Amino acid sequence: MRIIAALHETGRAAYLSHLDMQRTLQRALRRADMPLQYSQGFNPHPLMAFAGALSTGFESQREWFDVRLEGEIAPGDFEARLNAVLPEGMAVSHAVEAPEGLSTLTGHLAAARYTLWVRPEKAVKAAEVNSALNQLLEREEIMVRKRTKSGAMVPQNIRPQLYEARLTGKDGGSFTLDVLGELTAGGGLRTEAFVNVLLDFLGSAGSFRCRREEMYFDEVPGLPSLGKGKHE
Amino acid sequence: MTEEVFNRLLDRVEKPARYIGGEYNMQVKDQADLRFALCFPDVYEIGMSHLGSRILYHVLNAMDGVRCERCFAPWTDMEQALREAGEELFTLETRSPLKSFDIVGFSLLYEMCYSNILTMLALSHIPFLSRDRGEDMPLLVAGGPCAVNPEPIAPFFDAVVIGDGEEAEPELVNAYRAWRAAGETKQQLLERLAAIPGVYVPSFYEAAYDENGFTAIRRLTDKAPEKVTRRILEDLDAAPFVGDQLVPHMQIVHDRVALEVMRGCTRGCRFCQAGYIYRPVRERSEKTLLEQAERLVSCTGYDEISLLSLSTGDYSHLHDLLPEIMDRMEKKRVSVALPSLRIDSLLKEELEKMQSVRKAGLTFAPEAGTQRMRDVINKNVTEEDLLRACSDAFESGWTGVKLYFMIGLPTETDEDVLGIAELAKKVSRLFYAMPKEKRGKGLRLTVSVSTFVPKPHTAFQWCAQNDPEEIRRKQRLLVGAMKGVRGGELHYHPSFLSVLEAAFSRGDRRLGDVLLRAYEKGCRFDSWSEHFKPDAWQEAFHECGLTVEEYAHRQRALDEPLPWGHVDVVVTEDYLKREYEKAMEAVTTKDCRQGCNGCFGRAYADHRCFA
Repeated sequence: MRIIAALHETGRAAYLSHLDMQRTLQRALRRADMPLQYSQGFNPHPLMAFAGALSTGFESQREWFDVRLEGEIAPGDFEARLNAVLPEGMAVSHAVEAPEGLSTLTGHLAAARYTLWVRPEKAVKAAEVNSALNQLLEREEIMVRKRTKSGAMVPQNIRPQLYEARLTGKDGGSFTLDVLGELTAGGGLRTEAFVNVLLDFLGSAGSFRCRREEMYFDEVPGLPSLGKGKHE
Repeated sequence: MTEEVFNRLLDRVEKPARYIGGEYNMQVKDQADLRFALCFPDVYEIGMSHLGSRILYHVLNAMDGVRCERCFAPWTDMEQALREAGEELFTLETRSPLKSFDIVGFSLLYEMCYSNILTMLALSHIPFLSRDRGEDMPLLVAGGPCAVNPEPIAPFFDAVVIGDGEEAEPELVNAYRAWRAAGETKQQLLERLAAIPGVYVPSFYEAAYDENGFTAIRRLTDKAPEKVTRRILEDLDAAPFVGDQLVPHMQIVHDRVALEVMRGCTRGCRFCQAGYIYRPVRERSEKTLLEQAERLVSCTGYDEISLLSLSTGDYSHLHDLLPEIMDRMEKKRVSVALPSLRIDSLLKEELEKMQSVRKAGLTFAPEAGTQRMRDVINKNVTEEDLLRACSDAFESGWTGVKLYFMIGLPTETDEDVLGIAELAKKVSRLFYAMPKEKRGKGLRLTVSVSTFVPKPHTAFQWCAQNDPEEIRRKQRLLVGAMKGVRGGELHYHPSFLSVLEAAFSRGDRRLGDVLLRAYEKGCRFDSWSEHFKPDAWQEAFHECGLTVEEYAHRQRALDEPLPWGHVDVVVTEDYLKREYEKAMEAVTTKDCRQGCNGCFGRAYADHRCFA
């Protein structure tokens, strides 16, 4: 059978790389004595895959993954057994049996919602942030520079990948944003690029932290979806 | 340290996973009256690969009321981030500064990590020299294989544990508690520690020098023993393993379950310090090992287990253990690795079995290129052994073979050096002479050549190391000779690091000053080529009125006093002298399993190796 579930990674776990996270989950699955299916070939590995890769330093409420098992296990038992052996800062939830014939989760990935905590170096008012967000969202193009694999810097328009952005909180020196953006196998909204544009707009340098709140999929029954055609 | 400060530090470093802790099986006790910081003077991925530190982490945390936490050397990016933020170095478990611990203990695995000890102390605002530390400072202790010559680091540590730590460390902790309960002075603590067998208190001894160097070490109080005798854990089978082995998030160097099958080695290779300082051989029973293998695999989730020892092929019950453990592990999809297999102990059948689980490269260590040279170092392996082992491996489908050699060995001639390339050539020919359908496609024959470093408490402790000029000449000789070895690839390294290692491994207390100056000149992570600063080290020696050459390249007389002479590792100096003399004649000594060679002398005649 194939199980789909969401991994919650907060606190110290945020600082694991994508590879670290894969290794850690695989070992936890083995500790939980799950009847894993393995790949064929030289170095067999468990058939387990995350829908997307999370940047090192980001937290996530739900990193969806799927794993293939020999035999049947109730999704609730899957969660309980895995949660008993996960390290601090990690937990699984929302386990379901994958629908028959589903291709990779990554192929269905569409979007993600983020909470961003931005700390600008100079003081900014909530009204300034709101005004900056409105102006950015009204534009047809938001140009940033992106580093390609070969190291060259190329211009990139991130506006099409930015679906929603709103100010949800302001606390002392920092403000909180709720952002929805594209996330697909090929890429998606780079929250870092977006924050940098916003900070530029506010005329300040600054830093930010990020937590992925949810991932959205197209045409996977039982998984979060934005609804057809909403952001096409 | 607040979460915010911590996160800001992590944002500035390349590999934040080195500093976060929180790994599965990490221990954090709520109730503790004694806190022990177990420090490793290298980065996380190296320190976490060290079995000894893992054992001590378990042993200390298993003690009632003791909380042991880990701390590793911060990489240079983290050092800079800490300095700029004005923050102290912290432990992984609770992010506490080292100063807040009762005892701070360092593992000494490699001399070229010594500069990192100073970095770690500096980032903890702990004075370097033991004499400058007041009663408010933690007790600083050290242990590990390098402790058999504690002199270069003697000025920094309050006490050094020599030998196996499983029993000595808890005794040290209990002595500390008794001292604290009695409300005595630090001096009295040191006296309590010096009374524990295997514990060396450097401040109770004074070294003397004349214009030619070290002359004597003098005991300053009768509270300390004249000679400190290495601790030996008698019953390894009953000894603790690593408990629930901690599972790092990031990839570490030895990222697998480490199962120590035995301690010690009977082969008696004359260059090998481990071969002398872990005697006698102590084996674990097959039953214990099988139980531990199952337990460790299920509590970690690892898919690989390594049967660890200095020479696993010599383990008495290997032929019973191996099929059984492979069978059990295969069911759990765990592959079994056998490091340090000797060429003459390899079996074709076992190779084939290992292949069925996972295919890895094979490594052999003939150490020297000619039979004469191998007889000098007592590496009792022949050319036939190597070729047979390679032939078996090739027939079983292996195509990658790594051969380890040393150059600069005592009595070495150019013929011995060229013998390395000759041997490689024979291995290569063997491969290509096999019918194509019986072997793999292309051979990858890696010939790795390191520079010999004479070590204390070995038969070669009196020997001069070749100077860098001579090593470079020999390397060039090999580069030429290796041309035309089909599939062959030669690996060698610049040699000044080996010179420094030779100086520190046989150094005296004056090297403590050299180390301080080198640290001040920015020396860090010296074993990492991108950080190694040979000029700074040379200057540091020079400013102390010393030269690295007199430590590394000078032949000692057999009757000369040695700076580590007050450390009794139980193998007698007389035995080492006999071994040295036999080496000069290229006469071999038999494996202890074929009969006792008497290395412990009369004083320790009761230490039996094989029941």
